[in-house]
Amino acid sequence: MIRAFIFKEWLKLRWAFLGLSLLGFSFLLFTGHGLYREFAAGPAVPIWQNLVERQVMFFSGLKYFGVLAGLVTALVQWLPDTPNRGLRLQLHLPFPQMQGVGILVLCGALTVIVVCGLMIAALLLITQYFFPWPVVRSVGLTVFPWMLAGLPVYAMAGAALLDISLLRRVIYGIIGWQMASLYLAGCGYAGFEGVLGLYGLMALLMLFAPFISAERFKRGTL
Amino acid sequence: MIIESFFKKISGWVLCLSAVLVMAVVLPRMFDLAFRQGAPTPFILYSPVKDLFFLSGSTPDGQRVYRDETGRQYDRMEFMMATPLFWYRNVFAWNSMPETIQGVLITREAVEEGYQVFRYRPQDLKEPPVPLWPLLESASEFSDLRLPETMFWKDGGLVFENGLTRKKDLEMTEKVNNALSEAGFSFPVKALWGNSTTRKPHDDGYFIRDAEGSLFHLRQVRGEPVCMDTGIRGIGEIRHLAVTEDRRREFYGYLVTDDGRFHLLMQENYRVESLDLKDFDPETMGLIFMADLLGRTVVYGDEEKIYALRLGLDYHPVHSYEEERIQGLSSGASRVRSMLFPFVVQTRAEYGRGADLRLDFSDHTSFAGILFFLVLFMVIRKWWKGTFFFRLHEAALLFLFGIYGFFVLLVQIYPCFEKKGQKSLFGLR
Amino acid sequence: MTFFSRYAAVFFALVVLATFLPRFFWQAAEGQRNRLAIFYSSVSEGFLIHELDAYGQNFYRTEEGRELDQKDFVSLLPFRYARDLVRWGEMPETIQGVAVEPEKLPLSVQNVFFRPRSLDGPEIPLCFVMEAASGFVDLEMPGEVMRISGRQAEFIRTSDNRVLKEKSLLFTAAFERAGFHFPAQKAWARTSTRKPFDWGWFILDAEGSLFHLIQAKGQPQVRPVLKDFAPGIRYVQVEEHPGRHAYGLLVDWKGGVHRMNYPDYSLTPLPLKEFNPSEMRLTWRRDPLVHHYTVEGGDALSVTVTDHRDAVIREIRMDLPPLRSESARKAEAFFFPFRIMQGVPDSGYLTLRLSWNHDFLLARALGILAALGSFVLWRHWQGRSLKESPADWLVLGVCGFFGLFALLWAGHVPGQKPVERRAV
Repeated sequence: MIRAFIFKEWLKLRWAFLGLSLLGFSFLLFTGHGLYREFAAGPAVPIWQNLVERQVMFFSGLKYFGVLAGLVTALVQWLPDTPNRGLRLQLHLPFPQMQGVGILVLCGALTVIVVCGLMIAALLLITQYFFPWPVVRSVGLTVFPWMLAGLPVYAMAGAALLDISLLRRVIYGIIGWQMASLYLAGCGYAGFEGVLGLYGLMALLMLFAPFISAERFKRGTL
Repeated sequence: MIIESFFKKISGWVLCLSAVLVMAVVLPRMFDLAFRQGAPTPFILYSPVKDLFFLSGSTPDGQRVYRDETGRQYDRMEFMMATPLFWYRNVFAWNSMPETIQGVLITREAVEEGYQVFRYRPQDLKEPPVPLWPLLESASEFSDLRLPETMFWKDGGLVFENGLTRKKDLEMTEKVNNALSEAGFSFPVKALWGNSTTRKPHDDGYFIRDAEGSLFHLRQVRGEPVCMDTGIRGIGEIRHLAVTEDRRREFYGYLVTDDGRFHLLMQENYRVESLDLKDFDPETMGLIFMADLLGRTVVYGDEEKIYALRLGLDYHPVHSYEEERIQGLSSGASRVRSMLFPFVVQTRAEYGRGADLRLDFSDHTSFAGILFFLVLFMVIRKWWKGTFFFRLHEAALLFLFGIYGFFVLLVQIYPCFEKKGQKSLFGLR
Repeated sequence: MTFFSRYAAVFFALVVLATFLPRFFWQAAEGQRNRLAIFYSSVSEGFLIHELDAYGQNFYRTEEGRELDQKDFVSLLPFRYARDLVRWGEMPETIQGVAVEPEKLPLSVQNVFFRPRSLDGPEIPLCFVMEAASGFVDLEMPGEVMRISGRQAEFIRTSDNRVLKEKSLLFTAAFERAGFHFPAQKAWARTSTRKPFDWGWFILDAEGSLFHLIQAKGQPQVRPVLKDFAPGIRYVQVEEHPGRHAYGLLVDWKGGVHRMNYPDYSLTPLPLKEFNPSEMRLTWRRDPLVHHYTVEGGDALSVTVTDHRDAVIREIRMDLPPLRSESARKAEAFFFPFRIMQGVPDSGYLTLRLSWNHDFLLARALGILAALGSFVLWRHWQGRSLKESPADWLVLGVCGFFGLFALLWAGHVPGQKPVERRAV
């Protein structure tokens, strides 16, 4: 049964996964090529120095990638099932519903995490080719919260899509948006260094948000 | 079934807490935006002409006010004339610079050469976000500073990476670390301070604190690393050092020790000139240091109080002044604020730079706010369900979170699956 | 309907491809060259060349090719590197009979940079008119902005968006007295407080005459500057320099650049050959002895040196290795018969401008043939008739490889063949 659930989710999510990875990688390819040209044109130290002194973020285009990934994943995962209440079928299967929802959320969250993780890994790979170690470290610490923003966005978008009342949907939307903006606050390089664990924990906890909406969805009369 | 209900419980609490969190971030911010009166920090200068501190500030409605420490008001021109060594460009342009001040002959060159300003802010205490530095040439023939081929970072010792090969420059690394050991440096490197920019009049290199707390001075002189033991002992552990690199070359910069004291690091023999700043707290207070031909002025303070100190050329205090600042919020507004919000979630580091996640609790007046919302909730409950009865979790929400809890209950983000429940205020169940 | 939606998709794909493919192509194929700068030395009366290569190494040489070390180079340019020469005590007392006063050099040395991008660009038609005679040395941003709309100049307070009636009337009257025809076409100034003083705004009126506006002690001073200037005024670059030698540069619509002299606004055409302000960069350096005009663009660097009476002393032109090699340009012609430019060099606006490739006719023809051939093969491989969707062939004939990619992406018209035939 669990396998069937996972397979069903995979059928939906693979396109989101593929599209997001493609988008991210083409962006990184573009960034990498820009760096390559910049470094081929002259000595590296002025470019390093420019980054250190002015805190230029050559990767700033990735800032909203996490949010996009969360939003797309939630839409792809929940939208096909909600309008004609397809999900209710699954919630009435002879399988503990909350665990079923848990598997769904886990699949979605893993998609977001894997896509974002791949992006971070690829970005760090590019960075370490052109820059010394302290820059790689700072870039990682800068990008990580941006990607973390994907989880609350995914969770709140999921909760909003599943919920049956319009008011709650709007409130969940606002919560998701504000939570994401906490992660995206412009703090410069490595601004989240000391509090990354706390923010990470918060993002993971947020993943529990859709369950109650699923419960309402199951009972749901509008 | 236990897992099922656990999931539902935790999900409800997560939603409810995240709503509280978002409100605790956003609502106080909106409140401040609406009620904060912008009164920027007054700018304080010492007048060697009148031997008084002069302040330039503005009223909440944006009107500029120039006054001295006794409260007498001036217009802008009189203000500048009273502090001619700071506004020397204007005063010379008006041809009204006095010939002598305190018996010292004033010429434009002397004033220009004697002038230096630097600032300290609490966020300077943090390490730079990208800890990577170039070792510039300090004794170049040419006045334009040029970037070297390598940059370094600290990893026990100093590690140099070459920008051409993009590999570690083992030769340079060894040379520099040898220079450090020869000067008596005990590894690992604990902290390192310096200015990496080339936009400065000259280069004074870097200051490094070693494992035993001693301070070393590293420069590149004609292509070779030179390291000197500064011999600074007995002022406590150095927490922060800034290299100022000014044309005047009186001092290398300043340092802040972990007992909160502020010192200048003089260029002659690395002598430390400790300034006696009353109530100075490097964690919360900014500082401006101004040198002029006749003395030194240090102004420091935080949101609540501002201190000014005038020192003679020999760094002995001449005159001092302190003043309470008008707070950002009027006292009424700040009382309402602490009543409304039992706590505020700060996502920005208070004095440092970067992000944070921290609860700032309000004072005891917030109980009044909590009580108010409790009663308000009961009234609504009575009107809408005909009973004052409410549940434990509702009470907990109201008691713990005050206004935030009230809103959460009002829109019923917190789940209450009562089978027979009536429609609520907003048509929710 | 399917016919239209398919070609709408093809059109969209064409626009995207023609915008991005050539850009990526040149990003990959464009070569690199060393940074080069040419200076005129009044000491040796010859040109000096400074070259910086990709490894960050500096090379200094004379125009004859003699290598110099950095110290010789610096000594030969005493006005540029005055700080070093004074520090070494090697500043000559006179150069070409003119006494050198190092402390006065900031007044007589001026560097002005002109870039094509500054000719045009998005700007809000609001002017910050600073107070030019406040009596204080530091300039301040005013609390109100001026808008020249319809038949008047209007001042709007920024804090509450209120129109200041009295001030508006005062300035409108001053404009009218000077013979200004409302509304203004363009206005130029350097809106910054980081300048030694303020020269206000140069404003082009509805009839193409240029006026100069300065606010002194709250009062407007409007002076007519240029009337009936035949080539037309394209751009004015205002340069506040403590030496007050010139108001700045004026670019006309025929490509000429003029120096607008202080204080009589007379124009001196700069002795530049083959200068195209839409594509090339211009640097004007003034020192106590000469004017020095550097034009960079079109794979060449040329420098003209004149004395202070604007008589040409020396000229030099250096061809630079082309950034775009001939084979790369042939490849471009083969693959891309045209491109869509998002930005153009003489404007800061974003546009979508179609520009056809006019070089290498043979390569272009071959490219289109190759695209056609590939399409035939593809149809064949897919088992489709060549007669299907005849408009495709037109797309291919015009757009070459862009057309091929767009058609491959859009795919066939769905449905049965007879339906397609009727649709076409």
